[in-house]
Amino acid sequence: MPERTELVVVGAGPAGLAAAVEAAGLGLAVTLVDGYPRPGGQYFKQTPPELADAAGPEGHPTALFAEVAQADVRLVSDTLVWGIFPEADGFLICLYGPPGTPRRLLAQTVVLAPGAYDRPAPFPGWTLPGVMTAGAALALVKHQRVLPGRRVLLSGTGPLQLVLARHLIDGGAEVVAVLDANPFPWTAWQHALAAWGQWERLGEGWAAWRTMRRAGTALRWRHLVRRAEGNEQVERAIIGPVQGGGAETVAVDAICLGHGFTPSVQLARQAGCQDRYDPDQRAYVPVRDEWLQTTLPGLFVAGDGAGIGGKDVAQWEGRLAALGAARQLARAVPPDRVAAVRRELARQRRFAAVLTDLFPPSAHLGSLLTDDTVLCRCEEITVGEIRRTIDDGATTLNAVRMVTRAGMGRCQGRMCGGPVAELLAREIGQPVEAVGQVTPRPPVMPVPLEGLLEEET
Amino acid sequence: MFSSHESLRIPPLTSRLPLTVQVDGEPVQAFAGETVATVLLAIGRRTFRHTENTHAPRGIFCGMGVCFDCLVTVDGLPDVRACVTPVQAGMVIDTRGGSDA
Ligand SMILES: Cc1cc2nc3c(=O)[nH]c(=O)nc-3n(C[C@H](O)[C@H](O)[C@H](O)COP(=O)(O)OP(=O)(O)OC[C@H]3O[C@@H](n4cnc5c(N)ncnc54)[C@H](O)[C@@H]3O)c2cc1C
Ligand code: FES
Repeated sequence: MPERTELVVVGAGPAGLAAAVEAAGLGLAVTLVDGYPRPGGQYFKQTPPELADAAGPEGHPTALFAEVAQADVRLVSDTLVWGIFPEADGFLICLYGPPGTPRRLLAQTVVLAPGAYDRPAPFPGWTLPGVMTAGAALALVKHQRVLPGRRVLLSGTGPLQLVLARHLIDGGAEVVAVLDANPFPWTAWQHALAAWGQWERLGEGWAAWRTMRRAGTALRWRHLVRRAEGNEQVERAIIGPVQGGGAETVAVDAICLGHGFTPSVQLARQAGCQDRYDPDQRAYVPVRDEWLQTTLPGLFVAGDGAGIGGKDVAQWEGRLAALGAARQLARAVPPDRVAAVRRELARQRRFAAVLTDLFPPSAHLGSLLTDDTVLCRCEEITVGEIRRTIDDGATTLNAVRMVTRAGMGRCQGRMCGGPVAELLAREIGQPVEAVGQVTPRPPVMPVPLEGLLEEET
Repeated sequence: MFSSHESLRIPPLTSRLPLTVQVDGEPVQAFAGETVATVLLAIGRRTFRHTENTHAPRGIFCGMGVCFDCLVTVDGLPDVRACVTPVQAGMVIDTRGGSDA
């Protein structure tokens, strides 16, 4: 028989940590599960202790960790949740972790807080070693204390690129340029930041800017990388304005792509939650009510996994979802606490919305694709092959998938699902939401066959 | 015997705990807390494998365990994600599998 619990929180980033703490404070029996060895998620990612004393000045933001340490929360780390199945009396949660970890939990309520991953942004040459996501590069520099390359080009959009540039420069790399596909947003920035008193963020921006100025790193607006070239690894980048001519070649040994993030919706979809296409996010997000409850009663989604909002939105959503779960369990939920959480969440969402408006995912990426560009990295399916299936009449992602196998590899379409849907929609002149999407099958993360069993063997 | 590309590691290295692993049959210095991907990058190795269909080189891409590009063979086990696998003393890492399967 699976172990029973009142609440399982999946993901120990800002959203999941806050949800667990809030729920424990209301007296719920909480189990918090995370796939990484240490809690923290993306924003509070912890450097391995062996490398920690060498890490940068930031240290660990501790308020939330301290709350977690004091709260009565059972933390199960290094453990993947690979499937969630609604049952009559709750949700069956399937886990795979180190020996001794439970393989199944039966939860009356669930808060999913799985976060996001870097938005895949295909262009010719993007599979060459040395081309990586901004998130990958930042994790290497900050938490592994190794440089992704010596001459690094950044291409994408938004403030995270500046943060990465600063860490690379401080670590001793040469950042040849930072390209932002969007126009310079200074006026809007000033208003947005001043209006909501986000001085902390303004300070971070300035620090990054000063470091780049000192190092002579150019920040070029309305530019992006168009092609990566090299033999066994990237050696050159062709860069240029988002529209029009004027390409130039720069020698690089690493290219970091920072086109924002896309929500990890796989578990919610697998469980059977309804979702909708959000054009601002250019992604599918789970449908949620005012308690952040999905269309499956008792199952909530909080944080970046429901749409990118940043660390503060994530934390307040986590707390609101926990209140929602408590309410679902017929616990007393203090109305003034609910009101306070909603107020703070609304404030944080306004700022997040400004960022999304200022740095939308670039609409020009699609124009970079050539017939020989690989779209599906797992199965090595090119744009040309997908165009041929479209010429043959395919109008849905599923049809393309059946013919080409795009999206059927190990990553279960996490990398190519968005780009293939956008290509297909463009080619047939339909909105993206008309072509459908990939539904992940359990296990949503690869688990050895033995790991699928209910008991350890 | 050790490869000398430690300069991609960001100093100071003084307080790190050195250990030795094997990469494609050669002894290589690593440090406790590093991932397999970090060790490969630190010795200047960008290509972790070649794909089965087109023999195209691949390395680290997402860095968080979701893209499956960084697959290597570790202690005889194929298709291990280098970016999320911590090194251990004596670990045998192989990038020559050439396998996609
Ligand atoms: C490099 C970087 C810098 C950033 N800088 C800023 C910034 O300056 N300001 C800001 O507001 N935001 C920033 N962000 C964004 C911020 O980190 C995220 O908005 C925030 O972490 C989202 O929190 P979350 O709890 O929703 O998800 P995450 O922090 O991503 O946590 C999700 C957790 O869920 C776990 N998980 C996912 N799926 C499973 C599964 N199936 N089984 C088990 N565990 C699972 C993951 O292991 C992870 O620990 C940055 C992000 C990155 C990557
Ligand atoms: S780099 Fe993507 S899984 Fe390792």
